[in-house]
Amino acid sequence: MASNGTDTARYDRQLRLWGEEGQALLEASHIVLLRTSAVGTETLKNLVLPGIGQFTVIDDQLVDDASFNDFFIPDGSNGKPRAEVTVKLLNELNDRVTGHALVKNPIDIVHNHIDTLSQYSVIIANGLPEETVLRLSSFAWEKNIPLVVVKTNGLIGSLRVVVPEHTVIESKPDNPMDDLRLSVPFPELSEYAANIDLSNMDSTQHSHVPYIVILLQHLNKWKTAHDGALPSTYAEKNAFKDQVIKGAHKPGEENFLEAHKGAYKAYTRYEIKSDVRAILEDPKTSNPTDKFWVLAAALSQFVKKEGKGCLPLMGSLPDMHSSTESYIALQKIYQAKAATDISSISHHVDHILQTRQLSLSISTDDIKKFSKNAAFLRVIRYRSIQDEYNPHTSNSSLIGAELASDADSNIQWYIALRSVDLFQSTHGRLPGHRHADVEEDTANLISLHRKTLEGLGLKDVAADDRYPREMVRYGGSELHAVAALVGGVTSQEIIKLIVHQFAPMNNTWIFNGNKGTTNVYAIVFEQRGTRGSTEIEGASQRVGVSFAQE
Amino acid sequence: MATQVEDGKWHHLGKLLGRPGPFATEDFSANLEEHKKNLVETWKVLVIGAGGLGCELLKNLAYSGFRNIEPKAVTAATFINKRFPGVNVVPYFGRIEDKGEEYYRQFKIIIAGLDSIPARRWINSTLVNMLVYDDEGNIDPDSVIPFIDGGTEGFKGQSRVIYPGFTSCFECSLEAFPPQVNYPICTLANTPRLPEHCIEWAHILEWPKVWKETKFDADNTDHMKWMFETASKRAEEFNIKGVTYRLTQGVVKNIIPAIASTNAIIAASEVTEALKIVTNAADVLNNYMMYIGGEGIYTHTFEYEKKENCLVCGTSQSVYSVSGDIKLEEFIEMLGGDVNYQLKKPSIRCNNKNVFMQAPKALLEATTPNLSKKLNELFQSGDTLDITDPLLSSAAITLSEVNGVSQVFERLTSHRIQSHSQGKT
Repeated sequence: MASNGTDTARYDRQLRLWGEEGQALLEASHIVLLRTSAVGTETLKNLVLPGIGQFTVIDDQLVDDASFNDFFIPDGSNGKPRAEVTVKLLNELNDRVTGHALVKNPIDIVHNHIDTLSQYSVIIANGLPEETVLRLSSFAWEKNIPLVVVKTNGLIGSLRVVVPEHTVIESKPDNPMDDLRLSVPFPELSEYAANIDLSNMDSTQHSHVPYIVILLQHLNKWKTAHDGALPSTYAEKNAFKDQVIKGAHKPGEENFLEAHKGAYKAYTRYEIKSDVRAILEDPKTSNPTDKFWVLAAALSQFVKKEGKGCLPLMGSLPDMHSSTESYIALQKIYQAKAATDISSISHHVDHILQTRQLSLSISTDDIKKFSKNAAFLRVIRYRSIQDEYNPHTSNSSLIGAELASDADSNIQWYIALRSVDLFQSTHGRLPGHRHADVEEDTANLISLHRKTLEGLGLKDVAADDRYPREMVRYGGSELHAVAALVGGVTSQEIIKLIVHQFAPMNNTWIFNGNKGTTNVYAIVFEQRGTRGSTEIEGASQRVGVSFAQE
Repeated sequence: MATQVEDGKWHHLGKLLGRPGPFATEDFSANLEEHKKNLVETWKVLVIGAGGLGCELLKNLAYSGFRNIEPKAVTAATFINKRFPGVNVVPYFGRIEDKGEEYYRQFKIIIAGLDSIPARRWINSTLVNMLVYDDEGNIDPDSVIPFIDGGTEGFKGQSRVIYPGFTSCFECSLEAFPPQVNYPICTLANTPRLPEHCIEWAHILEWPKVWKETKFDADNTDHMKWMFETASKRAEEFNIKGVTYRLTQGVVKNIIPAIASTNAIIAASEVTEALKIVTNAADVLNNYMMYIGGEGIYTHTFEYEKKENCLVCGTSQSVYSVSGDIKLEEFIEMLGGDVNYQLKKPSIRCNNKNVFMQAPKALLEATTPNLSKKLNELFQSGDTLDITDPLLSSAAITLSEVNGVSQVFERLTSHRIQSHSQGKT
């Protein structure tokens, strides 16, 4: 169904990442860019190449001398409409993609004809004044269209993503934990492991017993000797490992080495991760209206009832030293249990659809996919740009804390970019744009920079003038390599938003080309519950780098 | 020859390069004309790699002020020359391994976007071996050619700056690129469990048995069809599910997932660093940026430290313990499997005598009997093994001690590298 005629040979290397289903979503998308520039065309390039459906560039600027930092503006096009020139060359990249040029003023479109933007899947805004971005943001929020605001200035870049709610079923983490249930074995698994008699085996058979069976048997033995408790202290865990390895017939028996190495899988308690627990407890599960939340509601009921506190079994088995027969037998046990769980969830789904009289089409494949990915579900609720610009809802404590811990944090560049926006609103141009104004602009930007800090509720933070000075040096220039880097990241975030796989960042990303560093900041609090509430849940804040552990 | 593109470019670069700023380096001169002159007339950049990364590198360099660029990618070169009249992109031909030191010396900077680990190791070791030392053992700064390396896989990538002799080199981080793990033959032959096992069985064991001399060609659809069908039959026989045509292709061609956006990000990071290196306009990446884009946007920028006992740029000796009882062929196999060495076809000389030579044929034949000799029959305490490998320009391992049956090998010291490069220059 989803694969209708995609070019599997052309897209082979990316289909291995997001599959034909993701590709179908890409091919159905129509992305609009409001005001073009090198960062805009570099973003579109990386979306046209993997094959989005359509794109539209809205811009009434004409090509001038300064436009030639853009790869999609060929020599000799001075004076021509930028939108038309770039769309023509972008179209040449992929004959499966259709590009449209709309030679109109994007600011006028936003303020006077905004409804024409409701047809797009994602809106990219670049170089628009603050008030236009705010108007666009509230429109996109209302229409539930992802908005991506991208900026570059000299060696600095930023990206802001806004969408009220983004749900992901397949977040595809890099190193997912195996779902083996050794500490909470289901009856069929326990029974299978208990019925295997290692004492009556020849050495070949003995060395081909899957380590899962070995661990289950030893865990049972341990529990019998310890009043049903799992090994919990460091000493107990070591004792358990010793017990396991002593079961080997000879040193170096590979399945026993695997059991010894994987012993933690037996004594690590089963638990549902906090972000998935939050989804199960989300108010939306009591009143689901769309596919994702109906499935989440069904999942929540399953966990309470049939699952006895566990998520549905993933049903996949990692490779292990084993005979083919034992491995396949074990695999079948896991797969059968997964199928049973899926069918339980299916009943919950039917029941919810019936009682709530929802006419949503949810297929068996949908349920299967949701169940298999239950441990990796993601819900990201962004905050609006309105909230970001409101001192009462902006995350000033994060900014303050960040600066207190590192005076040279990249959050400095966020503040500097905000002060540049303020300059642009006040002066109608970018600071440092003309060489002759550098001195005057520097003085003005330094004072606006202080004003920005005050606006963020950071009166007590000493302003570091090097940041506004450096922004004046950049003078609103768009360096091609920086545009290419920021455009690369922007396109990647847009792909994740469209295919609903992997996890987009939340919510502001800063690139610092001075040091080659980047950070993600939750510039606006991510709050649970109703919007505008002043209550802040510590657990839901994502402060600083998107994930700090390595 | 001023073109619109050529003139237009400096509007943006002119600000960064023509104005002083608090984040510029101490050595920066805010003089656009000076930078322009160097970029246009003097500095030459070599781009290695003609794939997705290589093409992005070329475009970014041309639009970042670099004028004299020598890439591998011919089509991309033609394209850039057409899009950007006035840029001087002249492709080179042949393998990088076939070019000598004189060729590499002409470049201000070398920038790579290669999938191939061996090619990156080779250029890295070549650049380290080109360093010139003075009498006190200090590196002559003029002999240092900065090397910027990048790589991607799916949503992940890395970009780094290598100053040969000063920062960690590619070889220092070899363990970050472990050799591909092959499935054990006995699993393929006797106890397949995964669809991949069935595919590799068809690929490694069945194809040569059935097709004898005919070499398998992954781009031949008939060959690929046979592979898929043979693997499918094997899977069915063992009750294994999941052999698909795409998986078959992925396994036999070892396809690495790739997307345009990650290539764009890494290539752009590399060129941003190149521009800063040549102009001093801002600090340079110190020295490794890791990018992970699947889960949020995560980057980790850190100083990858020099490995003191690095086979290529190390300055101290390291101890490699090995029993003197093992045969030379086992020792060679160990060098191949060790994540820190990963030597594939080493030739070994000791005390100016050939111990084992991979080529020419006559030497190979003459030295092959040594393979079955034990190490303590071949070497003495204090011996230095000179090792050459197609992957590295040269390396050496010092055999420092014989202690009963166990021998301790120590690796090349910096003095050793010095004598190598001094000998050549």
